[in-house]
Order: sequence, then C-alpha cells, then structure tokens
Amino acid sequence: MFKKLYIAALLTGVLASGANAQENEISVENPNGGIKLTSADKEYQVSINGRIYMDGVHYFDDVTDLSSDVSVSDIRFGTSVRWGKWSAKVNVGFGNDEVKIKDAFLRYHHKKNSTFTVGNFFEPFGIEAAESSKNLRFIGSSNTTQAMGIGRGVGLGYTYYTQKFYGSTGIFAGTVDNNSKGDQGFSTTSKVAYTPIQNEDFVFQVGGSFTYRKPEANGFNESFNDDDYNRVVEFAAGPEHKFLNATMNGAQSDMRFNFQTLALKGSFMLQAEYTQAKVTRDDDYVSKLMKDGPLYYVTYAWPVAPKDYPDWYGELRDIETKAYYVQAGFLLGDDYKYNSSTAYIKRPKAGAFEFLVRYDHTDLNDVDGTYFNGSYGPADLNAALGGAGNMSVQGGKADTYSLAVNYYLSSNVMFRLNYDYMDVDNQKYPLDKNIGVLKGRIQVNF
Amino acid sequence: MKKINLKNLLFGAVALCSVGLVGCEDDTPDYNEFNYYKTYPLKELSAEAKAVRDYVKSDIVIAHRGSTFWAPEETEAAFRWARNMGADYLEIDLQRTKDGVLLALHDNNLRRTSNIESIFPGKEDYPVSYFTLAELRKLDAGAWFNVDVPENARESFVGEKISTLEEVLKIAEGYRILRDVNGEPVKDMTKLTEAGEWAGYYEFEVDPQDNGNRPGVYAETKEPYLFSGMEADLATFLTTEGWNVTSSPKVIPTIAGKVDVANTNGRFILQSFSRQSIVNLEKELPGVPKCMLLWEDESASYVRPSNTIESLAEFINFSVEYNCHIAGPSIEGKPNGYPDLTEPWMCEMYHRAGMLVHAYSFDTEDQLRKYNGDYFYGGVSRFDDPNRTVQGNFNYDVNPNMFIDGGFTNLTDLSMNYQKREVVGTAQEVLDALGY
Repeated sequence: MFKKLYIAALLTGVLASGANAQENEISVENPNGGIKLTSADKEYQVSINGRIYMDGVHYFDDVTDLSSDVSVSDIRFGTSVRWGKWSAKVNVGFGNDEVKIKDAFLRYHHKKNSTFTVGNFFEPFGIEAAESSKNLRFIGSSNTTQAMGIGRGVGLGYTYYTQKFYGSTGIFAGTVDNNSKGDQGFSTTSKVAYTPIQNEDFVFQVGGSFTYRKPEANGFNESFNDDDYNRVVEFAAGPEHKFLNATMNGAQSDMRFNFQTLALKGSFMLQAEYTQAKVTRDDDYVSKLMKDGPLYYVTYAWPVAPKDYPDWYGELRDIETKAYYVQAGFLLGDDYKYNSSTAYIKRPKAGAFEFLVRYDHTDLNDVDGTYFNGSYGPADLNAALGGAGNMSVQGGKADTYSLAVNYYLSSNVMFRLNYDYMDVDNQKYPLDKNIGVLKGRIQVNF
Repeated sequence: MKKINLKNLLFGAVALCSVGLVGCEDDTPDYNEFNYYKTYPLKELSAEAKAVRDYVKSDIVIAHRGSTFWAPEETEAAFRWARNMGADYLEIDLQRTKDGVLLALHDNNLRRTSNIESIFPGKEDYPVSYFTLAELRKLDAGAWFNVDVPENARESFVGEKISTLEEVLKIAEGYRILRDVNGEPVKDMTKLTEAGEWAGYYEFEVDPQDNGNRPGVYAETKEPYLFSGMEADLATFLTTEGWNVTSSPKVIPTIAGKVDVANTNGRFILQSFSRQSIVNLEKELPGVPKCMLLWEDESASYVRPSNTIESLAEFINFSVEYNCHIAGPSIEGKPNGYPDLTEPWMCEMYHRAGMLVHAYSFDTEDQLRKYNGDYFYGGVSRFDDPNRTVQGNFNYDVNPNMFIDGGFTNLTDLSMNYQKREVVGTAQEVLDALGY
C-alpha cells in the first residue's frame, strides 16, 4: 500500500509541475536525443522519455529446446520533472505484455554532485546492475550480472561524486514486483568507484560494491502463523534461465560483494566485474518437531530432536556462488568518454560502430554431496542410497564467449547484434553442452 | 536532432528480421524420449556381467508370490501350486524375524494376510521383525484369502502358515511340509531356542504330488534400514543350503522335459527396489543375477515422471554400475493400475544397456499380448510365429528389443498358456491334485 501511495503522490506532483510550467512561455530542447521543455524562468524543466526495444533471438540449441522468437521486449514511457533543487522521474515499462514500474522516484539535489533519492530506483551495485540497459555494451547484462546483480529497489539513497570519486549508498525495502504474502525484505547497498587516472588519453577506474539483504518472504505459513515464511533467493541467467538457475530456500541473509574495473583509452575500453554471493539459511526445526511430534515406528521413533531434520534432509548450510566477466571494446568513429556523474561511459556519437568481445564465467553451484536422479544426498553414498538428503545447490555453471557489434545511428536509434556461445554444465540438463545465441535489437530511446 | 539515415535504418531492420526468420527454423529434434531413447548415453553391462545375465533363460514365467489369485500368497499352497503349474521361478519378498529367520512376506505388517488381530491383538501393525518365528507360527496365513477371494476359497487353505525361505527352497526342490494325521505341520524339535523351546521350524517330506518341476527362486530384499545386514544373512543361508551358485552349489535332480531352473546357475535371482540393498547384494552375493525393480514417483528413489528419460537413464546407469542384470519395471492395466515403465522405448533402453526386462505384474492376456508386442505384429504372438513381421506403418523402428523377456505373474497358468507351454491342467485341477 505504501508503494502505491507514494507512486500516486509522485504522479500528482509531476502532473502539477507540468501544468504549472505550461502557464509560462516554454522553450523546447532536445539534449542527448531527449525532449526537454523549460519554463521561461528556468525554474521548471519537464523531459519526456521513452524507449522501444525490438528484439530477435535465435537459439542454436543443443538438446533442450529453446524458443527462438521476435519480440518487443521493452516499451517505456516516462517523464522527468525538475524544479529548483528537486526532481522526479516516473518510468513505466510495457514490454512483453507486462506493465512494470521502473524508475519512480523523487530526488533532492543538495548540491550539483550530491543527491538524495527516495522511491524505486537502481540499488548502487557494480557497473551493469546499476546502469540502464540502454547504456550497456551488449544486449542485456552479462550472465554474472543477470545472476547476481540487483536492479531496482524501493528505498532511500544518497549519491555523491567528484571527478575522481563516485559513492552511492541506500537502504531499500524489497521490490515493487513482490506480491507474496509475508514480510518484505530489506537491504542496504553501497558502491564506491575511484578513478585515479582521468585525462583525455586514459581513464582508469576501480571500485567495489557491497550489499546486505534480508530476502523477501515467499508466502505466509498458516500452520506456524509465520510471516517470515521461506525467504527465497534466486539467481538465474542465460537462455530462458534454464542452464543457470539456483534457488535457495530458507534464506536468512544474502550478502554480495562486487569488484569492478574500467579502463578507457581512446577508442579502446576494458571492463570487468567480479561478484560473489553468500546466502545463509536456516529453518525453525523446533516448531517443526513440536508440530510433527516423535513418530513411532514400532522399532524406533523419529524425529526425536530438532537436529533430526537437518541430519536426515540435509543441513541448510550457507551457499556461496561466484561469477565474473571481462569485456573489451573498440569504437570506430568515436572515442570512449567518461561520465563522472554515473561513473560509466557516455554514449558514443552518431555514426559510430562499436565492436566488443566478452568472456563470462558464472558458477552457481555449491555442492558437497552425491547427486543422483535429480536429488542430492550426503557425501556418504550408503546414507544417500538410504534416502538421506542434502541441501546442496546446483544452479549450473557456464563459460560464455560473446561477440557484439553496435551501430549508433543517431542519439535516439542504435542497432545491436550479439552472438553468445555458452559452454554449459548443469546436472539438470545432462545432455546440453553448447548453446549458441544470436540476438539482434533495434533500440530506440528518447 | 540529427537526421536519420533511412538507408542505414533499412539495413538494420532487415538484419533484425533475418534473425527473426531464422528463429522460425527448427534446427534440432524435439527433446523428448521418443527422439532420444536410442541415443541417450547409457552404460552397458560388462562381458562378465553379461555372462551372469545369461544364467537366466529367456521368456521366463515368474510366479508372483506363488500366486495372489488362486491361493493365499506366499504360503505353501501358493508355492506348491506354482511349482506344479510349471512356473520357472517362485517369487518371494524377504523379511526377517526377531530371531533372525528369513521368511516370505510382502506387507510391512501382518494385518492383511493373517489373523494377527485375533492372535496378537493391538499388534496388527507391528513389523515381522517384532516377532519370533515360533510366535508367527501361531498365525493363520490362509483363512483371510477365503474371505477376500471367495470364488477361489478352499477349506484346506485355512491353517496355512507363513513360509520361511527354507520352506520355499524345499518346495522348489520337490518337498513339502510334513503333516500329521490331523493335517497339522510336524514340528522339528531338533531346532530349539536357547531356552530349549521349539524354534518354529517344521519337518519336510518328499512331496508325493510333486510332478518334477524344479523352479528357481526370485527373492526381493527390502530397505536395509528395516532389516539391517539381511543381505549378508541371505548369502550365508544360500551357501548353507547349496543355493549360492558362486559357492559350491548342490546338484538338484531334475527330470528331462520338466522345469529345471533350480539346477542352473540362474537358480536364485535377487531383486530390490532399494538402491542401498542392491549395493549390499553386489557386495554379499556377487555373481548372482540381480534385478533392479522400478517404480514411478517424483522422488529420488523412483523413476521421476517429470523427467522420465533422464531418470530412467540414471537408474539404468546405476543398475549397470552395480551389476544388475535385469530391469524390473511396472506395467499398467487392471487390476493394479500401476504406472507404465515398460513402454517400448523404455525396453529398448534397458536392452541397450545389456539388461533383461522382467516386468511386473501380469493379470490379463491383454497385458501379456501388449508387453510382448503382439499388437505391432497384427496380433500375432512370437510364441505362435517366431518369425512374425511388423504389421502396419509405424514410421519408427519396431523391434524385439522393445518388449519383455519375462514377467511376474499372478496367473502362472495364463502365462504358460500364452507361451504355448505344456500345462498339466487348469489352475483348479492342479490345486485339486495337490490335495487342497
């Protein structure tokens, strides 16, 4: 309810601001491909923004069928309003027949390079996860970021930057997409990036991010009157989220850290990120035992102690996953330029071609037991064959080699073509070894 | 805003459309069991394991619990009937008493197949392992059958006893339990408990109604947690009784033209649903034919319906790793309504791994004809025409590997007739001749 109220308030503010602006003489500009209306006294600025992604994807699938298709994967309409030290942005996506709230926030510009933001916006984590997809070098994020990046959350954030330093932090309370019963989660996420070398010839940046998260509850357990029921963390990436997909039930906390680096030299760029996650898990075995009671099987009774559950079904131990990517780019027709306010690359100018290569290694496995017939057992084979379980997570592993070419037709239109070659290893798909993905996109944004 | 170059825009649009058009082309076969059963990676039995597999002859008739239809299951009456009817194997479920005696009983308790409610009230759901053999001998394991299957009831079934493994082996060898003038089994007082009391064993005599058939025994072990160490006990017992083919097996006299399985290396076959038990059996009784029984359920212990081909392959590979020479899948159809794990493509996979297929359990002629593939051959049985040919255009490779090598049957008589084997009479006539 809180989310709906604040979104309604934002919309009202934006429309009111827009109406107020119309009473004055208005000038129209189109900076960076956008449309900006400015009042005569410069007090009000209204920008209209939008986006269309027209995508085609063809899978060179191995054994498991993947659905090649053409789609309009994203349509966005939105507006930004700025008055004095305040601004607001509303952006709604309609891609794939789904309506989704994207950016929806109110921002206070304490100084030119110091802002407070409240609403639904990107949590500051890494490079790709905190950047709009329209500015990414490839179509969509790397598997590293898809799996363990974060995206937007509802919260309060603060960002400060100088020419060499970028810092952003925030506290968040779940996502606007969560419709599950039970308590929402919360998170605190921070990112720093330092660019010690920044001149016309060379830009070099290093940075790091950290997030601590209480995952969102996945429903409400009537038996235990539990609004804390089965908090779930899910990492998924790649084609149809089949070969890289790890679900961690019973999650208590989710910590991730990220190291990033970026180097720009003329028409060359190098970018890399490493992300590691640790999910702690636990369950209320005492309540379970009190509900079940010791079951009497004539010759023995089970369970008789809370630890009987983890002993038999497997301990809900902590799960760690990790991934990284390295990508290099070459611009034809422009040089890479750095933007201190976003700590990332500016859009190349119209007419430029960009060629990229990327290697991504994503490992969503944390296995310490035996595996057969779709289930994990303890490392002790005899116990496993007897039916004892193990709470290992097998989300799959993939090495992905990618090529991309981008053509920046104008400030508003670009063409993208990607090819990914995935070397997959997932026990749920034992016959699949290599997957090819050819993707194309016409990207329009204003 | 700069002008958009229409030529470039057109170029990009065409490139994107071409990606979409390529997307319409189906480049790989659909991933389902029908496209992959021939190529799905499987392990294969070793040459040594195949030699053990070949101890088991083809087209065997396995008398499921002796019979569940004509006589009370797993009793002397059922096993004697199956022997004289001509079954190749007597099938039993092994359990163990409190005093360590191996016996034949299917259920986890004695409620259904005995009068335990009267003899041990309040202990109806207790497992066999709670009772000594002498205690179990107090139970009537035959009277319940006359109530449950009244059309096949016989007064003489009343008083039938739970069978020990020893008794089953003796019946296969042509013996029966010695009875006194009142028809009561004669107690073997040479086998006493430590307290000097009768231990529950009976004496034997050569069966005067024995017609010379010497079937083998096909014994199922349960989950080891129910009977810890039972596989080792079984190995010791079979060796003692001369039924362990890897340890000086005894010669059991046979008659030409009669069933002679009990005197072959395939005289005893092991079977289990439990992987843990299969591992134990491979350790305790290597070189004895083994069957991995298969059931369908969404758990690691069974073949998962959600991903049948992967799950089936995993079971087959496990079976090969632990030298299971036979797959024992369930079949569908009345009256049991079991899941079907004996579909043609599945049989092809079992056979590709080098395994035999002994499916369970047959109750109708339609099931026999279906799982022997008759309906692919215009209704012609291979027992009528070994050179039968496929009738119809199925557009896939129909071949003998798609069908069974034997089956567990509740109606040995029906299976014998289906296989065109000589029978000595109807089921009822055989029971009459045995004195029931």
